[in-house]
Amino acid sequence: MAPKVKKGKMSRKQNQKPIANKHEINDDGFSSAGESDEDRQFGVNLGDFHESNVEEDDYNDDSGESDDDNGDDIEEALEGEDGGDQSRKRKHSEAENGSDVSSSKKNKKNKSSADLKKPPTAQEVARLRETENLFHSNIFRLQIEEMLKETSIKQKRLASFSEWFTSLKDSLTTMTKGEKHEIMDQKWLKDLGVKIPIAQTPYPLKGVFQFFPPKSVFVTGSYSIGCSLGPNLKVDIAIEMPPECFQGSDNLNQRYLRKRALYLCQIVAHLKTAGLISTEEDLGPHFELPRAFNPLLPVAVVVPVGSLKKHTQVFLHVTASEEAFKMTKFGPSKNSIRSNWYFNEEKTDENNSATPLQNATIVSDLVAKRNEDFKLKLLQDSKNAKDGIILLKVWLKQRELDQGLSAFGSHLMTMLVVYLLHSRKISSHMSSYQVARTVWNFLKECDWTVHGRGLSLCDKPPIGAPGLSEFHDHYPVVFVDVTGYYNLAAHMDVASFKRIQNESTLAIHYLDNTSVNSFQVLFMKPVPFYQHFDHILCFYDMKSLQQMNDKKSSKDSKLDKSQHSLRLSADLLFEVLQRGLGKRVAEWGIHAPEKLSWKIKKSPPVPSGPLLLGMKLDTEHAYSILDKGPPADLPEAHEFRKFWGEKSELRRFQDGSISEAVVWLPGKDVSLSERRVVNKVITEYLLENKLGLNTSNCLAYLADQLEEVLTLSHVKPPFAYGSGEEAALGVLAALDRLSVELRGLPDLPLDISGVQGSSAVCRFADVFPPLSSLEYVGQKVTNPDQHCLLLGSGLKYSEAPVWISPVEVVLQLSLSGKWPDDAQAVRRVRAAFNIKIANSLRKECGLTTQAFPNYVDVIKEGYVFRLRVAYQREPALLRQLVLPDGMMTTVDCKEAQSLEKETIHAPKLTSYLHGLHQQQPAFGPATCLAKRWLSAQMIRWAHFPEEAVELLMAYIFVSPEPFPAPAQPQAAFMRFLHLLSTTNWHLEPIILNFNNKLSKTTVSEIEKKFSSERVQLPTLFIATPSEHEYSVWTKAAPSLLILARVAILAAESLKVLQGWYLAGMLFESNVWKQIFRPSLDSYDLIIHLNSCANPRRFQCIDSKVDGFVQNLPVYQKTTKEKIPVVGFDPVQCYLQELEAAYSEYALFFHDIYGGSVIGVVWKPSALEPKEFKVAHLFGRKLQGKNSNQSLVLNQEALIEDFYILGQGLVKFIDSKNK
Amino acid sequence: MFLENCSEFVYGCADLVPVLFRDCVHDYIFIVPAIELKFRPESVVCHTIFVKQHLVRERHPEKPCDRTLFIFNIPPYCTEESLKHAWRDCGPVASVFFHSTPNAGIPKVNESQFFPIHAEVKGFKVAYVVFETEEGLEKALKWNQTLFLSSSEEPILCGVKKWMEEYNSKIPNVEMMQSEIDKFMADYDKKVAAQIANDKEAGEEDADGWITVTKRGRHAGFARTESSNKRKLAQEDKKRSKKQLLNIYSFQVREAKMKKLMNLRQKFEEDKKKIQVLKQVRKFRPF
Repeated sequence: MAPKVKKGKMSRKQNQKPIANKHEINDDGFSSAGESDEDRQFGVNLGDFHESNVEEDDYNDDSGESDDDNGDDIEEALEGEDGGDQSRKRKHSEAENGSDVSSSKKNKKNKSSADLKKPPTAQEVARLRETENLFHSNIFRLQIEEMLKETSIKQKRLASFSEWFTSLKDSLTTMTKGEKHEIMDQKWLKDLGVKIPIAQTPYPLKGVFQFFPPKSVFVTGSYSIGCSLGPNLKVDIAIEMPPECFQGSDNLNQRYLRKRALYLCQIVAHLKTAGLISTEEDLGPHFELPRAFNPLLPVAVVVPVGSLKKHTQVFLHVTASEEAFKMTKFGPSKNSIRSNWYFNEEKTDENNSATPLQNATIVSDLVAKRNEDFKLKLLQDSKNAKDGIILLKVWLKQRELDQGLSAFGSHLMTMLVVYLLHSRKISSHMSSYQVARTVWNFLKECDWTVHGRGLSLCDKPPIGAPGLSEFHDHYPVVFVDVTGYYNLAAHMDVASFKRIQNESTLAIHYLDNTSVNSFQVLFMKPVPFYQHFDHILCFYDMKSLQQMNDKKSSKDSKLDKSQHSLRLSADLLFEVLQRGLGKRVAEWGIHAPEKLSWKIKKSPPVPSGPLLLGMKLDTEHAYSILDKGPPADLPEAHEFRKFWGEKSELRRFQDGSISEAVVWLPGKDVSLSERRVVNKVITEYLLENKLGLNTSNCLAYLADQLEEVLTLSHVKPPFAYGSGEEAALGVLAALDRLSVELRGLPDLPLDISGVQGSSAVCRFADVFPPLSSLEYVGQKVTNPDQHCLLLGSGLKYSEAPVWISPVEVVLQLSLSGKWPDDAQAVRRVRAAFNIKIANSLRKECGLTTQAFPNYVDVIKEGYVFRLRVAYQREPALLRQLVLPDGMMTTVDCKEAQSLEKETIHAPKLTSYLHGLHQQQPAFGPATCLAKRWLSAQMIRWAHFPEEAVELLMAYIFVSPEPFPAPAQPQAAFMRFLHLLSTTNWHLEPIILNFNNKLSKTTVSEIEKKFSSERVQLPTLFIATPSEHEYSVWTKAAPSLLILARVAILAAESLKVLQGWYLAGMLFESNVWKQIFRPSLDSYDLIIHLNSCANPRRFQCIDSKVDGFVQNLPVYQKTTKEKIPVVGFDPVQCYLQELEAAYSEYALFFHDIYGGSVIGVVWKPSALEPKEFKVAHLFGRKLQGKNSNQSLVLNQEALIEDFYILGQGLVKFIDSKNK
Repeated sequence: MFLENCSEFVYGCADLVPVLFRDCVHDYIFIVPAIELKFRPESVVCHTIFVKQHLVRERHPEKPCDRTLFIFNIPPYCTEESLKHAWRDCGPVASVFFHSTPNAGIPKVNESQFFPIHAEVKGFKVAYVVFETEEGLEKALKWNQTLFLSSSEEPILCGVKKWMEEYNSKIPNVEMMQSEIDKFMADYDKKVAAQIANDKEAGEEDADGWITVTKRGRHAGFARTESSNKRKLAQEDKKRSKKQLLNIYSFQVREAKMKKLMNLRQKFEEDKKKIQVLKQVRKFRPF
């Protein structure tokens, strides 16, 4: 599509070089399209309008209205008396006089189409062209505008704030000079009622503190440039300490920081009495650490009085004027804490090591004013850049990147935009969208962690200022400010910067990828930390981390960072873990969810944790059970051995090389679920051996805990079971071999050309895959028949044989024209085929088989396969109906639908999902988790089809935006819960674009159809490449009621998991398990079942294992082999009967995986008394006397019916109403 | 729909529980006897069934009006045998028919045991009990005692036992199935052959020189289906549209451009509408 290419080219150009003016762009757009003069006169260059996300040209061609109008016009032009002349005249007149000849001539009744036809006004053209040139697409622009509106602060509030600020400023600048105090003498603080907000270690410190009124008070941060994010207003105010406050060597030994804290106390104490701020218990002034959690830089938070109270917070930062100190003293390699003071040593150490973090802490205050001024100057009149900053801030905030230990805060983001403006990479003509895009592109390409690639805002560094390389030597990430002394990114670590880069790359990817709704993904969807990462290390015991800091960090880093203990711990952990895990982890993240804030009367608290580290796995390397080191004869080998110690061993590899290697798990019999958490083994080893942490009581490694619900408790198969993937693989391998045998069968009238599995197990989505042994099937309760075991009615029937599910397989036969043309005849022919196949398999391959009218059951390697012959035309034949006049027509029927599902849609679904699992091996177990959860909440597949669950989970993997695709089932499961709880199914169709098989046009057609025919479509609409019109899998269910209930359940479960992840509560016990235990409160009746009669009794969540675990032997065929009792589940039979008879009056809930109760909810509509009408007679009884008799639900009789229908299964029924 | 086309018969007995029944369509008032129905004598609770003589215009020989009792609200587990048994005190019952809704005909019976076409009636249903004598019906209409469905001599099979039986009976006897299939297919083949012969015959010229066009024969017509009709029409449309030239007159060119602009604007309007919808559900508040 030509216009699209052009657009792409243009935007790339804009990103590379700043565009001098807008005019140039317009010219460019015009000339390249090369249209005739006529069009210019017309005022529209149509090609130019084509926006990138407008679908192909024919998008609207089939929309009836516009077509018809066009047709009318042509006819009019042809037959009208003024025909050709008139139209030619019209052409000239149109551009000049706005009156639209064609529309005036047109039929007036259709006014909206007339509106569409009038010639464009200059304004409209300008806007449309602007959209084309400066924005992603029209809808994107509209959305951005709406969002900016939503996030802006109300004008009224701004006005009352500036009024309040003036009085604050007056009050502060007119404060009186204080008395002189020794720094160590802090008795005067007691009278003020404020405790000093920093930890004073070591306490002894010489020096004098005297309060002078601030030199200046100014608004800084986002408020000053008008980029505050609403709806609540947060304002940063800087209060500059005058130079008189300081003496000669105040730059040393944190004397500045202590004075600063004392100054802040004074200010707060003054404000408390000045009547400008609220002093109520919960709104009163308190201290916080908003600046990257740096405990040396406390900030006072106050709430103004008056109307501002509800929605405003003011952050008071104390800074110092630049001239107070010589800036050169705070270069990165300078020392500002003497170690003899800090460690209280006798001897004076000449070589005081550099303290970059301390220096940056102090200098950040000194440069505040200069940076503020610079920022204001550059951003002064570029509204769009400011809007761009807001967009970027929203983007950061949704990703939780703007807060915390290594925050890419809004100040840093603003300075980055300022840098790009300054270096003319952003021009003031760019739109907000382009600003954001440029920033992302810049971040994506520019690595500030590499030596020499850091940024500097300072064009001419002053004499004596440190060079860029000096910064790089001392800070991992470098972005030097306008003064040349301060590293704006001093607090960041490499991992966090890489995360920013990855997110930027993703952002650009979403913008370029038209199939993603990029606006939603970039700005609207939150990306919480715990959903983003696959594995999360939760350090909940801060004391052990403190001990680790004391023991393992060097003296130099202690001197610099020990007061910022979180930072120090994080650095230590990162250093060891990154080295040890290497390529296994694609992305790291750090998160300290606790927000430190304390009342002014309290001393600053010690961080109580937890500290979280997140790992995004690199699926290529993360599952390997061995780390290969360098060859033994290289010098690196020594280093490798030194790092790993005894763990490292020499190994000979298959390619003949002899290398150092570390082995994490024994080579044989390792399940895939164990492989997924190799990182856990490594991490624990590293933390224990390298950092001396006792992982069992300080670390929770959150990765695979939930998978426990997928394990087997009552039997032990002869292989590592894990979370069941191996068992599924076993089934598939057996199916493969069976398929070879089937294809090779001789003497069948038609050859078998295709064998496709269609059970959930073939797509790795069966919670409990069938196992390859039939030994353990209860022989006590069965009688042998010719080929099958029958249920022994003479025996004690209360015990059901253990559940065996058949594996459904669809057989495709080679083409033939000899099939009959009648559905009933086709059915017989299929049955005849079944008999033939069964006999042939028995004779040729020696398998145990039994033919049924609709399928063949076969035992292959201990699995029962259920083969169904598919005939493509059969559904169509079933639908055929001959009208009396001989015309053939089609009528949809249930049989045809279910047959189509079974033989056409299910195999396709299976192949798609099987393929997805091959690409994303976490898909299978994640789906099993989701199914297990949904079922545990007593939602039955009849309410929420299992295929729908699978497809929704597939959606998490196929369209993971705004996350990268998950690699750990547990992470995927949490996103699944999030999807269920937050999506508005009425407005959003789920479009599963497997392997991008759906073209852009089809996708937009689906969307269009969805919005226009919403009411007729199922409540949950899922489109796949093979079926995107009717959403077959969700047609009958789920209903709106069930969807709403599921959404509530998901939200609650997610809350539990989130609390478990983030709040660090009760790690040792299985808090998470409660999300698999349903609440029975909401049911009117509870039917308790005889657990013996439930064939899946061993699968239930809290199944009691009484010490007896049966070892399953490897399957061996015996001569007496019979097909066991397959697919016989009395509970399901019972539920089907209940559903068939009573679905009008009640809903039935049950956990298919061993649930021992059935929950019943009466439908409210059924409980109401009804008028005596035919339609209401069923299941009701009479109430009342002669004249006002009415019908009410005969509940007692129905409950009795439940007993009757479930004889032998129902233990008792609990009724709440009684 | 109830009371089979609303014939104006009123049945009722003074000593029964009288029930006012208001037919919503015709606004007649009927009195219908209500009878208690228990599963077995020990049961505490009961269903209420409503009975009436079967009276309709459309007659069926299997359901003679003077011997047939029509019963409403039969519980799901009830079988024909048990109903016969329950009414035995009124007289011998000839047959019982179940329907999900009132029906003048008789239920369709599956010819084949292996390939059923008609599903059995599930859930609450209506029943037609045909007594052997007219007295049976008269007695039944005056009945005022509780009926019992299941008893020791005629137990209803329910629950696990029933499902086990169902499972066992699903395993077919393959030889019988094969022979049934062979028979059916032989009949089918005969039918098809006869059809072909018939078609061929019709395809020949008759005495007046007319030929009936069928699928087969020398002059085969195309299949008479809806889809083929549509295809034919679509083809003709396509042919017609090919004949038109779209860029001959300047008004055509101009109109094409106009159309493009219109599309663009329409898209813009659609986008605006979309935004409006999203706005209503507060889609633009990021946090």
